[in-house]
Amino acid sequence: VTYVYAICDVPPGAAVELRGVGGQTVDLRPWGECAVACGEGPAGVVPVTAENVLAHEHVLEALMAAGTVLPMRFGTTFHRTSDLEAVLELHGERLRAGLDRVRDCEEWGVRVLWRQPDEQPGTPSASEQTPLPTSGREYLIRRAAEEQRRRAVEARAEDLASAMHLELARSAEDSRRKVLATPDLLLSAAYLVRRDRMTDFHSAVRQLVAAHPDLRVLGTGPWPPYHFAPHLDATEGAHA
Amino acid sequence: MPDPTADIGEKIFSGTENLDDFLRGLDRLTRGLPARIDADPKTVEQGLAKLVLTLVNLLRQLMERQAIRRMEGGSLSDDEIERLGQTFMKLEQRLQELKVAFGLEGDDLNLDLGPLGKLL
Repeated sequence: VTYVYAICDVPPGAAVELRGVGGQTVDLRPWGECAVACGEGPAGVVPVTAENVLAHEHVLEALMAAGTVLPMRFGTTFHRTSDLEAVLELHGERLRAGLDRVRDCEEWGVRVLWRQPDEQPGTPSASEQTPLPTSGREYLIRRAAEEQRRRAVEARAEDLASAMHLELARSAEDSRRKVLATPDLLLSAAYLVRRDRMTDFHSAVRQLVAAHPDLRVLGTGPWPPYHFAPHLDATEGAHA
Repeated sequence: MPDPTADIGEKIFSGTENLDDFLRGLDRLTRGLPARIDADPKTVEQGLAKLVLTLVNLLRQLMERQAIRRMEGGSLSDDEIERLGQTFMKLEQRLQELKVAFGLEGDDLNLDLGPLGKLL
């Protein structure tokens, strides 16, 4: 099967020697003025292992160093070359627009951990402390209070995360964010930042860290623009 | 081939000292319903129990929230509040017992739809 790594726009002959998932050779097949980075591998689902994921990432990093890449999701495979060609034909316009959108940009990630407002270290949670409710009414009232607390925490998280996100998004072309992906993960976000605005973005992150000593921030990158590429799907219903 | 993990530190531009805290939370991000039910005879029962109990728990939470909304809206009589409360309380206790019986724990019954986020 054909494993697709990326649609890319790299100068001809710029491609370094690439080894992909399972050690396969990665070719740059011309596609209009751009190229499709792909390799041939055995049929079947590509196992999600650290080695394979890193191999995928390495191919994209190498291409990114040489030009513009529109990364494909890990494990994007086509049974026949003709299937791939059909999808490229079908979504050609969207893919070219996608390439233009990420040109001269890199993806940077920011994750923020918080301590929930009512969470104090060392104290057992409410359910461990209080005895079981003695009546159905008491049970429902307790549940209602828990619901209210939960909604208040979510609203607080949304406010805080939105404010932080807004500051960071100022120096980005585009962004994706998720609030409370887990109860501790206040914000997980990806930013599409132009290379010439990278220092602006980094300084925005530094200011954020300085302004919120109570939060733990992790900034990563630069990544291939994973979050800003349309999915290349073998089905007609593929969507961005 | 060079060690692909060798340059991992270079990918962190802020908060290296926080890395461990983030790594600890990673398993919570990837947890949710298993992509497949494990067909190993020893664990298939637990996998199915988790699936069924998760769905029952989801329905319980949905109905409970509906009841709370109606109680707060004043459309339930005292008797109805008591009856509904008793029902949900027993249902929750029973779910906890079943969870223990099948060796499930903590957040095992929380439904996480991956990229779509949590259902509730």
